Amino acid sequence: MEQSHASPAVQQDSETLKALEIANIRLAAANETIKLLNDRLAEKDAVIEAKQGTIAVKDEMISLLKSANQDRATVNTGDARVLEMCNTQLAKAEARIFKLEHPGLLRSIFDARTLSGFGAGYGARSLQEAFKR
Amino acid sequence: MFTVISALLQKIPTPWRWVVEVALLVILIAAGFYLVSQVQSCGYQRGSAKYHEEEQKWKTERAALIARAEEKEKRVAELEPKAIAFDALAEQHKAIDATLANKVEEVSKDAAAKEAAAESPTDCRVRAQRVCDLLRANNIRHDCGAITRESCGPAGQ
Repeated sequence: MEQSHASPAVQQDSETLKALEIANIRLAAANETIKLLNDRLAEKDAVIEAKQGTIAVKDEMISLLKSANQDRATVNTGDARVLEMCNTQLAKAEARIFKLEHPGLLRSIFDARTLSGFGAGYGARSLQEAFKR
Repeated sequence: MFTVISALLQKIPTPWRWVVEVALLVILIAAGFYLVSQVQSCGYQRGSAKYHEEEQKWKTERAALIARAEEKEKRVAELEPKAIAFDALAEQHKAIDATLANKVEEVSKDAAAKEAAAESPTDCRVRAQRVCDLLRANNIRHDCGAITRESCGPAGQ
């Protein structure tokens, strides 16, 4: 039997029990800490999982946006090509209209309408002369 | 053919032959101009038709591309809240982790306080009871009576 001799009131105190109590206090604290640390580990795993989810979603978003951007770029390129084609066609149309409006002297002379007009005039004149006679 | 035409022209009397020749020449020139004009018109019409065909083809392709891009953008908009929800979940778990970290600190502080309290002189039986409680809490099999007896002596001493 081990007893302390510090004072009469605590005469019966035991160093072994004290050591045992402290050891158990430390053990309880260690157990509690381990439990809490395991909980923290689980929470950190959950954080990692959530972050991985975020990354996966963002990756998908980036991939979709890149693809959409590619489509838009193709549209822009195509629009530019068609615009160029349209301008070329417009220039051709303007040139054609100009040519039709300004056919040139020779072409005007040898135009079917001019010739038919001349023919009609010549015919009328001939008829007139025939009547005079 | 030219010889036939020439032979026919030779049959026409002189003043009228010139008129007919001039008329034929004029008709030939006019026909030439008309032919050139028709070729040019045909070329223009063909170019115009090709342009309209390509334009129509592009319109269809363009509409499909825009619809596809819009579909993808819509999907991105649908994913946005999902990403936000994942972020919020991560933050929630981080907050729980921080709380647990504080609890670990508290446990250490509590243990230190209990250790300090255990250091102070205590009646043997009171301490033995405390030890028994701690052993029970730590799930350690023990004989409380034996511990008390061996450490503090038989009851009544």
